[in-house]
Amino acid sequence: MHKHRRKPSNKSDETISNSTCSSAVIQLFRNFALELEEKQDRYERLVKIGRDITVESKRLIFFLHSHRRGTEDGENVLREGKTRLINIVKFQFSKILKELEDRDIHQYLRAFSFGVQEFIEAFSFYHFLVTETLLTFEEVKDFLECNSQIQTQTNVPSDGDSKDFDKIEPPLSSSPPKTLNTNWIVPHNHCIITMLDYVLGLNDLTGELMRYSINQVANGEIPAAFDICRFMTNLYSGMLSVSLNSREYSRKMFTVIQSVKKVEMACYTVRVRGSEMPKKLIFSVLEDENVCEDDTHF
Amino acid sequence: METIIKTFSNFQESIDSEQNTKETIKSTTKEIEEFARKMITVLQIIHQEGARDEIPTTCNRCKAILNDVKKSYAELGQLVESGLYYKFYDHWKLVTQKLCFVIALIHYLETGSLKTRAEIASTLGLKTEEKDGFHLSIEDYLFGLLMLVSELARFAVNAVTNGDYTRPIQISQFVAEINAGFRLLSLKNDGLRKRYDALKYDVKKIEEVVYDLSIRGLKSNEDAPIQESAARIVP
Repeated sequence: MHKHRRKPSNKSDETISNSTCSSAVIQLFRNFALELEEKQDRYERLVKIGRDITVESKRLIFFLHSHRRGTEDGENVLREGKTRLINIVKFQFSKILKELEDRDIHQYLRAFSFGVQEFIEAFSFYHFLVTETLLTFEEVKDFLECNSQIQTQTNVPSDGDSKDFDKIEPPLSSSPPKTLNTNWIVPHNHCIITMLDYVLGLNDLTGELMRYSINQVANGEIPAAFDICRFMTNLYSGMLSVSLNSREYSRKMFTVIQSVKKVEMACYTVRVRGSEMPKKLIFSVLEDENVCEDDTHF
Repeated sequence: METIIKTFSNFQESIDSEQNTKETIKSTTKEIEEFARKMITVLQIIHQEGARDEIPTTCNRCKAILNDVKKSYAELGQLVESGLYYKFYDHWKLVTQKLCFVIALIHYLETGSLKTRAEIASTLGLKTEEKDGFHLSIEDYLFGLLMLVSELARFAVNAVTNGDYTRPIQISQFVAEINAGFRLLSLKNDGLRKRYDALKYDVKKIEEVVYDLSIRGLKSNEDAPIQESAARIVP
């Protein structure tokens, strides 16, 4: 048995050493090795960029929660929020784009799509704070295009940028020249942010809105909380209207309904007991309140 | 509220149109699968007695089918917009691997050599480069080769049973080269890696057959110089 084992291994060693320089097959595989390695490296780099986007987006969301409506501070928060959003696009998304030049994005999508979703969550949260409306997919695309425009035209240091930011202020109204599309849209017109990632990001948005609205109640901004509640209810019914066979989507929808219910309960509590209770107390009631987590309707 | 409704109805629309594309792709890949199955069945003849004389006609029969396969791939290429290859990749991945195997097997039976990725791609009417559109991915080709080795391991055993003692030696040399090639690759921990892990068992099986032949003196004399040269190189 021992002899038997040794012999084959000797033989294949011989094959390797014998053919290192000559064999066409080995040459073929050498090229494969390079190609595979290149793919793997690219994938890893994209995972890393995706992670960076996630981290920065999470921090940004946390930061945005300090926003108070109608205060000087609140304005500052929004202004800085915008700068940070733009920086993510400028420094992170541009890297993704560079990696994907001439490539099929769908092959690498999984590497960074969680980052994209987190970015959409931050962006849509910011957008809601500014406009109290839903960030649309078109606005996302425009935002990407606009900021690539800044990047390619001028490399202004961050101070000088603020003017440009104002110029592009409402992403809705400014429609950038179409010639720039190639900058932001990876080969063959497929945006690096897919519609699916966009919607999944919106799913996550509801969690942030929930937290934000509860904070609003705590700060005594009762009307704001009611606005948010209405918005979330609408958003939820929109999400329900989608029939999509995706485990991720249904998993997220489960979280969405929890958040929606929590906010609805909060508004209910405020309505019922608000007249008889000091505001600080209401907050503690809300904190205690655990929304009944029975059946979920979707 | 209006934006919300519009956003989600747009999303639904894009899901629906994607679903339609998927359905069409599915029906085309089903055709290709049918062809692949037919060829694999036909090729089973190599494991039977007296296969040697049948091989050329079998290969020609398969080649006729391959022409149809090429047409179906052309259809598939039409369906899949450029840049969306990997979006729908899962639909044709498996069948493409199978076809790589079939084509490589036919080529091996006819010439005794390895068919390259570029050659297989051109047989199927596919591109080799990702950026050119509908292409033959490197992974699919490698999967096909691994399947080929498994089939050859079986072929080696059956060849002996059917009294052909030279075939296993040829196979052993052919497979050793592929095996050496695979060792150059650093594979990620994915499906290809798992499939590759099975390669050593196939190689071992073939080597056992060769071993059995040599200790019983069933190896023909023409192979003797090869053994000597091997002995010379190994210290």
